[in-house]
Amino acid sequence: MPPDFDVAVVGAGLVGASCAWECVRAGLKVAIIEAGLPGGGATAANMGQLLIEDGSEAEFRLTQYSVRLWNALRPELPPEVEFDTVGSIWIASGEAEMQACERQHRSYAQRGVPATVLDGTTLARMEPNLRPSLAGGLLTPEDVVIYPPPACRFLVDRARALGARLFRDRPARRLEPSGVLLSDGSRVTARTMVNAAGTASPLLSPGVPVRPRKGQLAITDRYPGWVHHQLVEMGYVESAMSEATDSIAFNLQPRRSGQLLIGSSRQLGHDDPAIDPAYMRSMLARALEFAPGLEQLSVVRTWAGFRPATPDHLPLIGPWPSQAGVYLATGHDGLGITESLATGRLIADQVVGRPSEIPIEPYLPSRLAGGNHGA
Amino acid sequence: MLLIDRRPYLGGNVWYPEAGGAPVAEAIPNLRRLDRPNVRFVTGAEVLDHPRPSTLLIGSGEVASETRYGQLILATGARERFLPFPGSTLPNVMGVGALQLLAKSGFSVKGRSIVVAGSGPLLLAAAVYLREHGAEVRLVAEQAPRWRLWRLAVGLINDRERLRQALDLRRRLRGIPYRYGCWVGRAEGEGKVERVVLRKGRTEWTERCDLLACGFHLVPNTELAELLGCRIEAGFISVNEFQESSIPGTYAAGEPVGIGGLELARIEGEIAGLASTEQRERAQGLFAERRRLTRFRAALQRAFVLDPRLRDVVTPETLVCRCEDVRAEMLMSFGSGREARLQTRCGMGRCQGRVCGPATEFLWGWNPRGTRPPIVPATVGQLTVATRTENMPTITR
Amino acid sequence: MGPDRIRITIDGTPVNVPPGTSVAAATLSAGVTRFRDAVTGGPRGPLCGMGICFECLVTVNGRRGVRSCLLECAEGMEVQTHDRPS
Repeated sequence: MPPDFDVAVVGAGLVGASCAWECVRAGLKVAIIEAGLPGGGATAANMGQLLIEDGSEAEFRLTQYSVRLWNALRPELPPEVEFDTVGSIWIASGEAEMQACERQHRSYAQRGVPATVLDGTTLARMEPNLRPSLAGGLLTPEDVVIYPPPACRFLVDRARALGARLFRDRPARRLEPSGVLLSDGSRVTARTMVNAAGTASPLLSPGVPVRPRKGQLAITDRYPGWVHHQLVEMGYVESAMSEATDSIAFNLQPRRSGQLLIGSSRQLGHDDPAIDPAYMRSMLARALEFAPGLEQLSVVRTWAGFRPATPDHLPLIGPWPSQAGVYLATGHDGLGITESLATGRLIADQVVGRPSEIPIEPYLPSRLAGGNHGA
Repeated sequence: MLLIDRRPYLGGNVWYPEAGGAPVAEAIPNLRRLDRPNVRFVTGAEVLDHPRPSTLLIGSGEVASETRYGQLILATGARERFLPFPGSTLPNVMGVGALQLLAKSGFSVKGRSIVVAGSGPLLLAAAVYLREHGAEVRLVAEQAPRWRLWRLAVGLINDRERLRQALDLRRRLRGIPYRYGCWVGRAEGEGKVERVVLRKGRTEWTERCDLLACGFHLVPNTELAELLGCRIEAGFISVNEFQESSIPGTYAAGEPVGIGGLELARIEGEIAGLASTEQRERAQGLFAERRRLTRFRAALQRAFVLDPRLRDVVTPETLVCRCEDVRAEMLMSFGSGREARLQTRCGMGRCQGRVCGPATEFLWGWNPRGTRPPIVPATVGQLTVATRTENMPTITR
Repeated sequence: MGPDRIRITIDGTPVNVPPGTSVAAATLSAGVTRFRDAVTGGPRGPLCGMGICFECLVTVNGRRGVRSCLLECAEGMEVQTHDRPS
């Protein structure tokens, strides 16, 4: 009996939706299996950032490639995606961070990423709601903010329009050589499976070194024009790169609605969706240090989400050696929205056997297979 | 003992004093009994969060402070259920209890023409109040069918007090048309309501009015109980015979336990007060009366069940989420409340789903969203007040 | 007008009310129906009368987003309606 599908993608978050769409476009017969609702996991909980990060060469290539794909897709995205090129300013509180800004500027210049160093006066003029006497910052004007759930829905709808079949509210229990066994006992048979289940991916592919890294966010009432760019403290980079340290870092983002999104926090290994009050308080207090006027602004909602984190801060995109016919598309940590489109493309490339536009080796799961790597 | 109330006065919504007038007569002895050195009042204040065990974050205006407690009694009351219809967001369309409250707090309704609609015992009480304060109440439109209200009345034969109250209200309403099985189809007007189209069966007609009071009975305010982790069943806080919730030391009384009216709320409050201060024998002495009043609560619930045809007034353009301006057509295509909220942000505005939650539950069976702090919008300053106090633990970078 | 009335202004217009009058009631009594504008435009006024719907928001003494149904009028208060869509 031939399998029903060429590819079964488990997980209809932005990463899974992208994988499904790219596979369908490549001429494959695709099933999308989602435990709940498409885009209901990490896709729903994050800050919606599209940015080029260069913590490493591999991270730079992947984010740059993916941002290019996002910009190419932009004209087709529905208005609910609220694709806005707001730009980011990385804020330096003192001289040491200012030097880090300069270094980063040189690095971006070499890579052709537009960036401008701002001195304290310019920063204050551009963002009057920041506290006075900051040393300056680094502006990356091409950074984008989107609202991810409609983008996820768009890709799923596109995939279905091209023939993909969606199984929603159908949790997967196990990946087997012949296909996916669902928890209701039914089977979706497929030649190839893509595990895009985010923080749940180790449940379906035992040993996958993905752990939840909890983050909390708060969103305010509408204050249009309160800040014009995404604002991030320079220390954010160190905070994000450190595996062991649970931490908070200042992150403030203007949304299309005029609401302000306040972040961010990291707690590795935590999977409780309840708000951790100490982390929320610390995060908000940190935000006040940079933008004291936030004190009077009204917070309407808070929530927590879980980034699927890997030990080396790079995602897992490629075959999982322990399971025949299974590819991983997971472990994107805090860059899932950015990297989703490139991930879908790279997965489709590997499934159909065509060359990729960037080297795939740094993201292959085999690099971490066969050991207890940070798990 | 600390009493916290969001209104500027004590007495809540039922014992709300009239502007320029005296406190409500029934409230006076109770207020007097509370005039003791061990009792403190905080008015104009709301609970924002439960940031650590046995601690509440209380906010007022732009300030907040944390308060530790030993025992907690939740008497958070209820709010009106608002169902959407074309024109329901027009100014001068408000709730039934709302218009009565606004009138009590100084809005003169003298000479105003008012339609009172929706469902529940509030309709009668509000219509009488408005009429006796000089308003021209054009009619009262109760969606429940006549036979259900007759059954309620018949069931009150053994409950002299409530029957007397109901008959008294009906008498004071004489001369004002009271229609059963009748509801608002739409409200119309330029910049504010000027007329209301009413439906009864297959008939439709228009009433001119300059105020429309429309509310469909009450929904319990259980947000704080949910935040604390109390067990909630069918939307109400579960309590044992001593009004104690699933969390030891946390009690609940009144509408959040079941919509049952003033007298039941008082008895439950008394039982909770006695039980929380280790006077359980005295509390047991009130069980019989509570039992009797609980029958009334069940009868109320049966009487004011909502007619499914109330869903038919909603058109694709009708605003369902008032905070985020989400229309019915934007919501109808989704399979679940969670998905619709995610894609449209319905329920993510300032009211935190308090208005559209009960509406969408009735319209499409959506489950309400989970409760997260702050349970009322709060400023960043209020939410970080603990970090400015000595010895509060913070997370360092 | 004696000492038992409170004087406030609503959108610049002086008004006097009995003590205990809420800002929402005073505003309605002054004939104002449009307290603010909705997100996509359109006038809004009080709905719930008890501080849970956030429709009755006005600016009081410069502070925006105040629920007028929960606030009592105080001598000299300056109330402004629909300053901005939000």
